Amino acid sequence: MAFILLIFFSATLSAQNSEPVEMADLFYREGKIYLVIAIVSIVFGGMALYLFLMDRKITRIEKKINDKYV
Amino acid sequence: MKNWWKILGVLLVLYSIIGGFLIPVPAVNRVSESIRNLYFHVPMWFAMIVLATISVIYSVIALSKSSEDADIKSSQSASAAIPFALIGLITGSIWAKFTWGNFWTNDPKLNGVAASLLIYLAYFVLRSSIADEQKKARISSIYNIFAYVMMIVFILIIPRFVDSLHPGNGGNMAFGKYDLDNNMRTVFYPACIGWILMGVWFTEIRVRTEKLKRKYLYGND
Repeated sequence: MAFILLIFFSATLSAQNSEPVEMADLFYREGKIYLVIAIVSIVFGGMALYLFLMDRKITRIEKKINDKYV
Repeated sequence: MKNWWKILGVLLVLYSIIGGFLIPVPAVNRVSESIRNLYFHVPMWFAMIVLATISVIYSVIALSKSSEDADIKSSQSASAAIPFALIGLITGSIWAKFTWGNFWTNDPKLNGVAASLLIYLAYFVLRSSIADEQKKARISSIYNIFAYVMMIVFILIIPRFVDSLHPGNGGNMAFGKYDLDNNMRTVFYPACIGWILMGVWFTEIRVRTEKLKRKYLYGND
């Protein structure tokens, strides 16, 4: 009976990956992730701002051309 | 304010950047923290497919109504889809180097995307080879429809039938291999919507610029 139980438990254990997956826990604990977030946000935010300025420039050209050709 | 959706797109992407790095992710073997690439690599493809779909819909409209406006929207949305495809390929390639060991593998989805990209680039070559605007619109719209069908077959249908390393193949589209947990969904879905809105914004700017160009060159006709 004990032998059957032992086989049963060892079968469930073998289905698991026993080595822990290495994540960047130390990096996060040191708070360095906020630097990464800040940089990526600034890069993207800067590009979004540029896009917005280009959009506005086109709007002004559209107004000008519509006045001229309408 | 009629540009609310543009600001929403920017905010959603910004949220996906912040949440993408802060919100905890499941610890998956070999992929580790790079699973966060999901928030940036995959939305590129969703945006590309949405833009290609917009393009083919306007192609059909351009054919049925002989509409120059629809042709402009069709060609410019296809143009806007290309950078998403390129960035998707580059980010996927770098991710593959880290997780699969190679920048490129003989994988059906990768090859399918490369083939679809070439098919759409041929669409632009076709357009530039025809001088007359109406003929250009008609012929390239027909080609666009075929290009779209081929793309759907290559990247959405065939990969499902073939074994591959690529997450999502062999199971459902929702990246089953990575166990997309509920935490990741809270970042992933807004990221997709945000980048789709950004792609539509790119398209809108291209459409407006093209219309201005035509008005300037041909006058108000």
